[in-house]
Amino acid sequence: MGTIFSFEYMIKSFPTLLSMVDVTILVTVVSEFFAIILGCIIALTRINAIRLLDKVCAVYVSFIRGTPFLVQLYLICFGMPQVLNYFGMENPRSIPGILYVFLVMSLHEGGYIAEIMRGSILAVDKGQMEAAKSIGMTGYSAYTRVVLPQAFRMAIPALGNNVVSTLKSTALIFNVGVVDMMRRAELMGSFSYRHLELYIDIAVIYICLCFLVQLGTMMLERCTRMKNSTVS
Amino acid sequence: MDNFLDPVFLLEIFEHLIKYVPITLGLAVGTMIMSCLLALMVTILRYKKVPILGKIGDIYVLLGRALPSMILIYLAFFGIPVLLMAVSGTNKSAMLLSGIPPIAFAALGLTLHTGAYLAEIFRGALQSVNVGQTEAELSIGMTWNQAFFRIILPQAAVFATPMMANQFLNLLKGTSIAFMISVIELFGAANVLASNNNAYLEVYIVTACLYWSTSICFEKLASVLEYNLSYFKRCTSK
Amino acid sequence: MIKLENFHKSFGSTEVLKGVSIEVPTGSVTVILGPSGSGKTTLLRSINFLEPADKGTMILDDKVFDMAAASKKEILEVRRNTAMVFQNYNLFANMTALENVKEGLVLVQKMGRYEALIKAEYYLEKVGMINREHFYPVQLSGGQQQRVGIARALALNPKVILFDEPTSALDPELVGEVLEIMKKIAKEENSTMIVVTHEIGFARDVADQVIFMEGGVVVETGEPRDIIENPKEERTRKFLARFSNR
Repeated sequence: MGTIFSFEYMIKSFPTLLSMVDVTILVTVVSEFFAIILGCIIALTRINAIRLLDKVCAVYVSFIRGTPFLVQLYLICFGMPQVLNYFGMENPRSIPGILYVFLVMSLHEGGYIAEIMRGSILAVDKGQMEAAKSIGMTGYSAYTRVVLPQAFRMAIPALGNNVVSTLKSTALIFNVGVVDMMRRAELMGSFSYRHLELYIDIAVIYICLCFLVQLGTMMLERCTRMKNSTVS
Repeated sequence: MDNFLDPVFLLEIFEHLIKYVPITLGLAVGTMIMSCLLALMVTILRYKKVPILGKIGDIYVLLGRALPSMILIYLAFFGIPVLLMAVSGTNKSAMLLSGIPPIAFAALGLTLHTGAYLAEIFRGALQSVNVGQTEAELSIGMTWNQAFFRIILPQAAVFATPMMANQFLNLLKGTSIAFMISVIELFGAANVLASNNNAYLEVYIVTACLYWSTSICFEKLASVLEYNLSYFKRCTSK
Repeated sequence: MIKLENFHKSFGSTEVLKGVSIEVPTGSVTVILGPSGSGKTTLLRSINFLEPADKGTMILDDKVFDMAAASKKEILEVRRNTAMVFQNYNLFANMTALENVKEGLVLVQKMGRYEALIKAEYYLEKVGMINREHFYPVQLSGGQQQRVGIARALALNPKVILFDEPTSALDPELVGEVLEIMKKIAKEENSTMIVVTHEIGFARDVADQVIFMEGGVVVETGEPRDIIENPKEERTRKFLARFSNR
C-alpha cells in the first residue's frame, strides 16, 4: 500500500475530478430552474385555495418534505421504467439517467421552493394586492408586476440556501448511473485504493461551489436591496 | 410481476421493511444526541470566543454546512482508518477497525453534518436572548457557567426548539445515506429487497410511505411541543 | 353620478352595513363621517369590490351593477372606472414613485410608454412630488407616499376617487400637506370624490355633501354647513361634540 496518505496523488487527481464538475453544475442549474417555476405554481395554487388542486399540492409538498431524497431518486429512476414498461413502452431503460435526475431534482426542490415562495408571497403586504386591484389590474398582472417581484426579493436568502442544498444533493446522483465527480472518484479509488485522497478533492470542489453560490446570493441581495435603501 | 402493484405483495414488503424502521430511528436519535453535544460544545467555544478553538469551531461550522453529508460519511469511513494508521504507524489499527460496525461511521459522518447545522441554530438562539439577561446574572454574582446553563440556555432552547425539530426531520431522512457504506437500515434493506425481487417500484413506494408516516408523526410531535413551549412563553410574558 | 342602493354586508354574524343608500353627483365631493366601526370604510371598499357587498346595486353613470352577483368582467370594469387612495398608502414597494403612477396607465389603460410618462409626470407635478419621482416608497415620508398614492389614483382619470381615511396613518404634522393636495384636486380637477375621514375641518371647507354614518346605516345627509353646524340628529350631535371639545 505504500505510504498511508499520498498528498501527491491527491494533487494529481484533482484536475481529473474537477473536469467532471460540469455535470454537477448542469444538474443544479437545470433542476433549480424548473423547481422555481414548479414552486411558484404550487405556492400560488395553495395561496389562492384553488379547489381540490390545493389539497393535491399540500399532499405533494408533504410527501416531498417527508421522504428522503434518495428514496425519491430511486423511486423515479428504478420505478418509473417499470411503469413505462407496463404502459407499453419498449425499452424505458434507454432513456439516459440524467433526464430522470433532472425530473427528480426539479420535483424535489420544487416542493421545498413552494414553501419558501408561499412564505414570502404571504409576507408581501396585503395592501399591495388591493392597490393593484383598485387600479384595475387583473390577478395575473397584479402577481407578475407587483407581488411576485417583491416576494422574490424577500426569498433571495432562502432560495440561495436552496441552491446550496440542491448542489449538495447532486453528490447522490451517481447512485443511479450518472457519471459525475463521485462516480469518477469511485472508479479511480477501486484501482488506487486511495479513496480518502479522492474524496478530499471532491470536498474541496464542493466547498468552493458552495461559497460561490453564497457569494452570488449575497451580491444579488445587495443589488436588490439598493433599490430599497433609505436616503442617506 | 404479472400484477401491477399487487396489494398482497405490497403488504408483504411492508411487513418485511417495517422491522427496519427502529434501526433508522435509532440511528437518527443516537446521532441527534451526539450532534447536540457536539454543537453545544462548538457553540460555547464560539460564544466565549476561546482563542484558536473558537476559530476552529467557526471553520468547522462553515465546512460542515458546505459539504454534502455523503462526502462527510465517506471522509469518516475512509479517513478514520488512515488517521489511526498514521498515529500508530502500523496497519494493526486497521485490523482493529475492521471490528467496528459501519453504522458507527455513518453515525459519525451524520453527527459532523448535523452538528454544524445545530451549532448555527444554537448561535442564533443565543443571540435571541436579551443581552441584559447575562449582565443581570453577572451583576448578582453568578459565575459565567451558572448564568449560561441556568438562565441563558433554557431561554435559548425555547427559541431553538422548532428549528431543532426541523433539523431532526432532515436527519431522519438523511440516515438513508448510510446504506452507501453498507449499513442495513430501512433504505438499505429496501435496496436488497428490491434487487432480490426485481420489484423496484413496489418496494420504493412502500419505503417512501414508511419514511413519510414517520416524518409526519415527528412533525405532529414537534408542533405539539412547539405549541406547549409557546404557551409557556405567552404565560410568562403576560 | 354614482349611486349606491341598499348595500348590505356582514362579516360572520356581525352586520356591518345594514342597507346603505347614497348618491354622489358627478364632480362633487362627498365626505362620510362617523365613529369607528360605523361601516364607512367597508362601504368604500365594497364599491371597489375589495370587500364585496352581500346585497346592493350600484349605478355608475348609466350602468347598473348588482354587487352580489357581479361577473369578473364587471368587477374589472368597476375597478377601472374607480380609483382608491388607501389609509396606509399601499404604494407598490418594488417601484419608484413615477413607476407607481405609470403602472396603471401602461398596464391597465394600455397607454404608450411615452404618453404614460408625460401623464404620470403631470400628476406628480400636481401633487408636488415631481422632484421625488425616482424615489422608492421607503425613501419617502408618509405624507409624500400618500401624495404619490393620490397621483396614482388621479392619473387614471377615474369616474370617482375613493379616499379611505387618507390622513389617519400620518403623523399630525404631515396631515396638512395631504389635505391641501386633496383640496386643490377637488377645486382644479373637478373629480368626483368620496372621502372617508375624521377631518371635520376638511369636510366643512371642501365637501359639497356630508354623510353621517353610524352602526351600519346612514343617519343624516346634507350640506356641510347644515350637518356640521346644525345637526338634526342626536347621534350626529354627540359625535361632533367630541371633536369640538378637543
